[in-house]
Amino acid sequence: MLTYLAQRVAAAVPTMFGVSVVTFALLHIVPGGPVVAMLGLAASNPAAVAAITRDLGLDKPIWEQYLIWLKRALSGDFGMSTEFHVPVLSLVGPKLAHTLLLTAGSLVYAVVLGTIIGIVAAVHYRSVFDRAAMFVTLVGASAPVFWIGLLLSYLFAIRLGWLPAMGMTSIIGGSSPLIVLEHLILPAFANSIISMAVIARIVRSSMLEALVQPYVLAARARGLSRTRQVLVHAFRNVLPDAINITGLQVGFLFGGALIVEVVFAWPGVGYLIYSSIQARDYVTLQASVLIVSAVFVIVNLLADMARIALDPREQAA
Amino acid sequence: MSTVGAPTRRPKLPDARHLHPSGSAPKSSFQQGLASLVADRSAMIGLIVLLIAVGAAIFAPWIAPYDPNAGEGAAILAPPLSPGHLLGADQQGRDILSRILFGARLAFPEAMIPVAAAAIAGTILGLLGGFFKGIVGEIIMRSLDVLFAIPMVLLAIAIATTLGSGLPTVILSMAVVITPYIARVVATTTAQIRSAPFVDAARCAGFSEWRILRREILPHVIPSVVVYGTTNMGAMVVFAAGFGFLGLGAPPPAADWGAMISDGMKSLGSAPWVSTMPGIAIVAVSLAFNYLGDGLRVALDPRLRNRR
Amino acid sequence: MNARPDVPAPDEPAGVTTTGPLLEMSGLTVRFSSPAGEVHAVEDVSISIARNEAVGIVGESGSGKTVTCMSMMWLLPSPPARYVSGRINFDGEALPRTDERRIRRVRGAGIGMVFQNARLSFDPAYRLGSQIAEALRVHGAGRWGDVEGRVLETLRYCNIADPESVLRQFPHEVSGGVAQRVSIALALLIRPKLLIADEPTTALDLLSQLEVLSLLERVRREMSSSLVLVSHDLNVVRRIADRVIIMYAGRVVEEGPVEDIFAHPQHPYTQGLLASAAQRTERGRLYELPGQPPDLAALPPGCSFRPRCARAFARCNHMPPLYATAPGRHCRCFLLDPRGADD
Repeated sequence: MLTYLAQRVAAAVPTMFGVSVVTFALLHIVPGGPVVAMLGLAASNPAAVAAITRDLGLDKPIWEQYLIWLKRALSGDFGMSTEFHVPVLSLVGPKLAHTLLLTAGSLVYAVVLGTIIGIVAAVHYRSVFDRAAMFVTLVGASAPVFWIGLLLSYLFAIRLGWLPAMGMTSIIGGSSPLIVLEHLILPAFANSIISMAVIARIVRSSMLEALVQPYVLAARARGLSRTRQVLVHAFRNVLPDAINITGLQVGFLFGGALIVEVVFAWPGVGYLIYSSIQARDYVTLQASVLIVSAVFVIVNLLADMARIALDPREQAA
Repeated sequence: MSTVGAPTRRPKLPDARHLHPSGSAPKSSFQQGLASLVADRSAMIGLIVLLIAVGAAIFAPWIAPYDPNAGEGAAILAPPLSPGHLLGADQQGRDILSRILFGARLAFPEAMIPVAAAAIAGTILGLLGGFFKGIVGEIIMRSLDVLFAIPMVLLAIAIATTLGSGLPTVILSMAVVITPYIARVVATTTAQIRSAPFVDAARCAGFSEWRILRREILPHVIPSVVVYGTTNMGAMVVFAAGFGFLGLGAPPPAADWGAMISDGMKSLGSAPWVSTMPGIAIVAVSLAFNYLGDGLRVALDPRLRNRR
Repeated sequence: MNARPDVPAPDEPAGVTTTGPLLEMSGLTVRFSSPAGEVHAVEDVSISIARNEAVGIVGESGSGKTVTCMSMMWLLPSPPARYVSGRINFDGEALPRTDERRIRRVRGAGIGMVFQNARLSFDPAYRLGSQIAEALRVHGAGRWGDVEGRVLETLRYCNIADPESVLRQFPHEVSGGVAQRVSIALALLIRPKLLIADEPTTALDLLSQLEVLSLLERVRREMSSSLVLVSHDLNVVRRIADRVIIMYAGRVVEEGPVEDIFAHPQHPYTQGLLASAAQRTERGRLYELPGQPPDLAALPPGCSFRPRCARAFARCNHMPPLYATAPGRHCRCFLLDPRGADD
């Protein structure tokens, strides 16, 4: 298990190198080059141009530029945001935590609701609930996340007023955990829908196979209740598949969170990227892409490890 | 019947009809697949919906009741079922139904062209990466790993942003992002087949590596690519809409479905239909692709076909 | 030889009737819906099991024997099975299919069941011990400490060496023979009045078969419970059963005391079964019943055995009733019509 972990980490290193090259290249494919990207309108000012050329080493060969950039990045210096005029890292750091919170919330929804729906649909195979659940989850999974977010926002926030529509904290209530949780409900749910649908389908099909196994019938013959047959026996055998599919969803949920944030103005990295797109703040954009990718790789790695640790079949292997 | 002067006929070869229990000759695999697809009701409904949608896209200039870009002051934020505006109007008074019809002309190319391009690029990269074991294969697969490491959405957005918004950028970004997935599917299949006996036989016959790649391996890889492309087409439509939503797609006043949803955000409370209607269009097309793709997947795989 | 465990069962109701049949099943008809049509698995089957009696049910696969004995405790899940008709009386009381709570108490405690593939009848994710404990808890046993002694004793009675270690094993870690014996032990622990064994030896090697059979014989003798033994193997049934019921295509075709059936089989099907079991040669070839059992979704009209019967005649176009040919002896064949075989 440890050797596997070491292998995965080792494989991640060259990948991250590649990612850094790609992100570095982004700045250079901007029409007008890095000078325009960094300075914007001030690019016509020769003094500013000279300053930046010295700073970034733009007169040096490209691979040297890359190394300078990389060295700075590894020490946490991603430059200054052209929009907010603060070091990018200080901008991205806290937002990243918010995005991870949103991802975690989505994961909880997806796993809990997806599993329950999958089990109930399998136990009541071909019933109205089963067909309706499979159809609704398919529709949900076919719809754009941002659109679902908007609909939920309209229904629950604007129309019914039950939940807040925007942001993570409220001006009145402050930023207590309860308030944050209240703001988390809608965006996390919207983000979870596709994963919920996937998990529900997999749980359902695994449960259908498990429920016709001889040991379930034998349990029935011994006088065990249906609940026990379904949960203690059938579901227990479905657990490895469920955990497996959940692990694969984590990375996807993280990516989805980036979009949902835009709809709900959730102050995470996704929202930051969105505003830097609007403001043409390429420095922030580039750094965000790099940092988010690094986190993405780490999140996937952790999810994979958890998946293997929890799967009794892999343990035996 | 006189046969004098008639051209000699070739004797009819015996067929297997008498051996088959139902009394007719067994169908070819293609026919079986087609029959399975036609019998799949959801897939057929999906196909019909798609044909209607494509038809709407093609004939939009003739069937749309209004010019999609012409705003009518009197109709600002008109609700659905208002006179003349079946689906309502947006905050510039433009008819939503017309904009949706014209939006289809963007949505389909935005989804299908990148997939086609990625299919070609991905197949080439996958074949090379899966077939050549040495350095070449390694470099290709590792480079693909890098592209996998960056969340799809993020990479696409980053590319689109740096290159400037617009339809060509969207298509390019999407193609770049999807290519690794197709390449991986192709590489896996190639790696499996690479060591199959018939490949070795071809080598013994003296065929060059390129020829083997083209004639022996490619035909096995194409079905997987087709299935992958079609089953994910629905997701591509949604993905493309995301660009419009973020303002990276065709510039306004283009009737991009995603952009329409974004426009409607400002008046969500008072006029929810502005955002809702284009979304319904996206869901309908995406669902139709999903059902059709599912049906295709089952129809093309003999093992799944029989389980129905 | 291990002494039989003589500890009173935890859930013994007081004042049960001890006369009359233990199980009375009348008019059972079970059908399944399938893509090929409706499968007539069991058609109008009535079985009566006396107290302390061992009954063998014999038939080919598809004869309906498994569905019949599972129906004794309404075991089959109701979609996909369809219970068209049937009444069950167990231990003097009616057992309607709708009385969920009573049925659950009867399952395991009144009627115990042992399956063909014992290893598969245990959940692979839990150790054997915990599954035994679970079943005991459901039927009112107390803490594990209280029952542990009885469990180990019963396992030893079933000839399981080192029962402590077996309890800690997972189902796939023990052999088929051991699993079958654990399965029987589990059934015994809940002290059923009727034990159903569905092909208990079919999935086992010869040595294990003999062991399981002798265990069942002991159980039968020493525990004064009734036994229903389902098998396609006549020799197995002969060893243990007092009475035999022969089934074909979902119906009872013959029944009677075991030695009588073996000495004087009346139904052509039974005769064929015995002939192939004894491997008598006919013109130098091994005798085998010709043809195949019928498709239960598309049964031909008339006697179901007709297509394979060497002695069929015109009247066999109708379904023969179950004639009583002697006390306790029945046969479903026009040849046995007391008024004469011909129309």
